[in-house]
Amino acid sequence: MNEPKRWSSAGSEVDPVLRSLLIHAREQRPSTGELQTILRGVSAAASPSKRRVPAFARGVALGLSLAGAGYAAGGLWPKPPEPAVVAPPDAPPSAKLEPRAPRNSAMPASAAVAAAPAPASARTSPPALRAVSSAAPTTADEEPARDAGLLQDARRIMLGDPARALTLTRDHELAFPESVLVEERQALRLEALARLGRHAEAQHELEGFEQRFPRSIYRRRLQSLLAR
Amino acid sequence: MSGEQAALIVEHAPFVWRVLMHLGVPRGRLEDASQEVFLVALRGDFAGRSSFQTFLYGVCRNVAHAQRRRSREDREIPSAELPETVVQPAQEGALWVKQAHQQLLAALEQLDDVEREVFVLFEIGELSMEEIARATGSPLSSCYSRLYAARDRVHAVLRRRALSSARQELKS
Repeated sequence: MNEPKRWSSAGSEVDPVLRSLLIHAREQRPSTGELQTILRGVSAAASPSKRRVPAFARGVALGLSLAGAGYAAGGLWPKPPEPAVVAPPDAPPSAKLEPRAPRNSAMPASAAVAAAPAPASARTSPPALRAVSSAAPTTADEEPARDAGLLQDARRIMLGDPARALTLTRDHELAFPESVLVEERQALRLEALARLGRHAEAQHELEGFEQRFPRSIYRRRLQSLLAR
Repeated sequence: MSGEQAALIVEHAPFVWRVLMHLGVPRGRLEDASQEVFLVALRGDFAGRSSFQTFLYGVCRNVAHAQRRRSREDREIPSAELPETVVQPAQEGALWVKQAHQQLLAALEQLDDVEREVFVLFEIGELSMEEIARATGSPLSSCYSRLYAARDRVHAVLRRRALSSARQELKS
């Protein structure tokens, strides 16, 4: 059986807005603070003498700094989880968590630093580095929001300031040349041109738009705008 | 906790986070739930019969089930039904995406558990269909049919709700 194409993948035939939404869902991750809390919570509840990392992971983890100092720094001791969950079938039936540690107990700063891994060494593998890099909280979470946000701003000011709306569509094109909202961007650009009275330019670009998006829901509206 | 364990958590935290989120764990419980997942995972009970991510998913599923039960008992507002907040104009774009994402979470709530997990693992967890079959213990063919059924339902719900409103906003 062939693997289906993911909705979020390039070339997917799903609605562009839904595709954008799936990309947004796929990019959900804990913030720096939340990741820090998770690390500390696990550290609080796990005893090094009783825990071990799966063998396969050791090679991946070796030598990683994973911004350890950053994740280990500052703040209150996090909330350790309750021991209510059993391991999946892959684990022996004996898997059982220990009692939950009290919330908000203070964590010595030295312990937090000690929990952090050693600095990266020459043994760090590129895939591992990539994994850490992608896990480290970045502004990537905000990209889909900025992507849609710029166009929303352009739409919002279209009637009052079409020149500014046009500029925003240019900004969007520069910032997100491969955006899934390219159809919306082009439609907004054409509308801005029409409202600025640049009909010849708009008419010319509309032809390209219609070729690229023959079934666009914006087509009729743009034709109507340019017919005025 | 050793550096190896911290590395493991950092590497897999995004996967665990988004899977838990889309399996219905309320936003306010995601930190706790993620901790639970890693506590189980770091016990070292992974036997290597599947990929570690597949193993992690098994833990996520159990944790999500437990967290959702606790939420119901505590009568928490599910993340998909959180009230809208008042935002400034500059935040509208971000709000639009967040609201659309809430619609997705709400749509996922309408799926059967078996359809939901296949959809979440494939579309959001990015596991292959074979990995999903192993993770869920289901025949591969069943996973395919669940994925397609889930897609149809998600698409229908979003079409009615988030997509139509988003389109309307851009059209108006």
